[in-house]
Amino acid sequence: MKKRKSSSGNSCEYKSGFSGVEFCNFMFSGAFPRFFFRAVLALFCLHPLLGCSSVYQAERFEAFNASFAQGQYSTAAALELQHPPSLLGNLQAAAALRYAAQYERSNALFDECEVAIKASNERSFSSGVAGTLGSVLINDTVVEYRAAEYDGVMVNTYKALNFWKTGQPDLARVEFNRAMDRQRRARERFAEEIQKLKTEIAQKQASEINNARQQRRPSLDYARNVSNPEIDAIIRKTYSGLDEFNAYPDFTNPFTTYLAGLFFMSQKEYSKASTLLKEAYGMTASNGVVQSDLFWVEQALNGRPPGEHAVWVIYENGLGPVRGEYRIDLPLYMYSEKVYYSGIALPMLIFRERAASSLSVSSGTEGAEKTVFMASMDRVAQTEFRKRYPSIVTRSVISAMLKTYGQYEARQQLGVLGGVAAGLFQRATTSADLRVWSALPKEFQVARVGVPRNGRLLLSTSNGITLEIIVPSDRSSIVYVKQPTAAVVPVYEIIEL
Amino acid sequence: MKPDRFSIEKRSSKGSRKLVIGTMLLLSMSGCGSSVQNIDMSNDKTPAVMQLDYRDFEMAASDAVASMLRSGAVNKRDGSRYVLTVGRVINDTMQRIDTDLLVKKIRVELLNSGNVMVTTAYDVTGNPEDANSMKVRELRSSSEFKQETVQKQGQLIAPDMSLSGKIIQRNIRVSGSKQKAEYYFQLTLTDLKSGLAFWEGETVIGKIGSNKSVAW
Repeated sequence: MKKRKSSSGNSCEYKSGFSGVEFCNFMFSGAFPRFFFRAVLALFCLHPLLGCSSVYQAERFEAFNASFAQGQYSTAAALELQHPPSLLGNLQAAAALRYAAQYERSNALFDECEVAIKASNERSFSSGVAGTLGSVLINDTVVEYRAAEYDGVMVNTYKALNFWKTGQPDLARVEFNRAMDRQRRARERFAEEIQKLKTEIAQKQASEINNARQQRRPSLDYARNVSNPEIDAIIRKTYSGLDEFNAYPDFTNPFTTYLAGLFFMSQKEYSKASTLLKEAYGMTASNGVVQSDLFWVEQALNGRPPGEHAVWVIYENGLGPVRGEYRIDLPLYMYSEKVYYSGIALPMLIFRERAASSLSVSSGTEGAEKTVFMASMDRVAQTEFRKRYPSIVTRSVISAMLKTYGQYEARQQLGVLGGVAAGLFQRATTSADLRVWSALPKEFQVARVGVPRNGRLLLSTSNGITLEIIVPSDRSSIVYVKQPTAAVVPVYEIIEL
Repeated sequence: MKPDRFSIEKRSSKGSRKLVIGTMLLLSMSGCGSSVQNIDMSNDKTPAVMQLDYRDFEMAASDAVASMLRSGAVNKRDGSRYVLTVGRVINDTMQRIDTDLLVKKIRVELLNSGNVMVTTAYDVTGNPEDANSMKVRELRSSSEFKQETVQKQGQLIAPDMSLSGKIIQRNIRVSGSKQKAEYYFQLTLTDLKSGLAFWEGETVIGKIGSNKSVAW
């Protein structure tokens, strides 16, 4: 088995060496049935590896999540860093190091993530038919971890925060600019991805018709199955949460846009700040802080910059979504009108809890303010997940068709034992891709208060944890608070403006 | 004549030796071939990149200085030279670049023009480029130095002009496979006596390249 270097956190690639691209080449060459028999025979060797690697992957993921949820950020980072470098591992570790106040190490890893995301995007862009459908013979877990668009945006957002915190606003500016550009690119890229998938299905269908003609057999009808409305209905019945949220504008994270607006406001670049805050306000219409920040910037643009300083409290609340798996039987039309039912495994988002409903912020100069909801990372993730879901389902349906066909052929040519082995292969390789950057928060909240005269700011969670924070009394600042779960004492950093 | 088995083996053995030696030679030569090469910086034909490289800074600096000189903004009426300080040049791109890559080239060309001198003793941030101008004056209280060699009071020259600016990047999708990166080099020369801008210039550099991924 070939070893393949990967930038993803996928242990399968290291263990089994499967490459989606290689499998795809086999499939489209017409040698698929021959290959499938070999695969069936090799099953008994591969099965333990496939099983072990997904268990190993799950254990690693759970170990990180457990430490992270308990606020043991250094431990969580160390757990990821003990493995060979990978994109997902670096994302998890870099986020954890940020909360452990190891800003330089955090940014070094985030830099590596950016390089890996860029390389992955370039590979995906350059790939042919195998690009989107490359994982169909095994499943999505055997291809490298492909960062979500919001992963890339959050990489730049966290890097910007790290630089801002460590007094390097010039570098923070570059990262905010990158984050904004990523959001623009993502909107454009998505439309192209849908077109690319359609083209790939058409090419695959044409290749299948050609192969079937040469092999004197009926051809498999991919197009009919991937656009079968029955499949959509079954999915919606099983996974009712798919359309749970109103989507944000494509791939836009209001938090990043707002924070960039705040940054450019702090740099007295009111025109740019105004554009960004207007965009953020459009997505967070009921948020009074965003509204008053925009008003502040507009005043400055009119030559009346407000003189008083302020403290912004940004609260990273709870834990962002993870993925679960559900299995359903789908009707597949193979050669004729006869329907075969085959199992597929699909991912679903599982939303986790808030740490607290809000933070109470008291500066002594006025009554306590409460942080208010500003942006939902759940909703950002769900928006993208929903957009990509048809592509995930398409790959799974084609995968199920190929495996079902292989099972049929194995039974025809190798007898009952062959059929059983092929069935085992299908069962072993039918699983959903559960990888996700789980260190992101559930939501972002914000409050703005006057600067306390003595610099003492009191923060209280709704479940009784109180922190006394000293902020600069002669200037504005941001207090950035992170709390993953209710029982964990929040960590915070102060960014002087 | 058909060679016998022995001669074939012998020949192949000789052949193998030659092959090994040849391969080693080729490898050593290819090693030389892949070593580092100097680039003729005055005639660099290496392909352009989407990011800013020294050629872009050189072009922007030359454009700016040529425009400044053409405008007459740096020609003092009495024929003496203006003293320039460099203010803030903001990097508003998506790349981590040191704006000194631009500023230094402008300073060199302005100095070479004979119209402008640059102070290294003063800086808007309070961290002058060469702290020695101020530091050597602390020797006035040192008995270890001949006091006639220590700089006297009132000798430093204050700037009368300030250069500031911004480099902006804007990325635009051209097609599914192509994107354009526009770089705006915006510079302003301010007369510190009046606070008025004597000169302003903008150089735009556009690049078109792959849209596979981000342009940084």
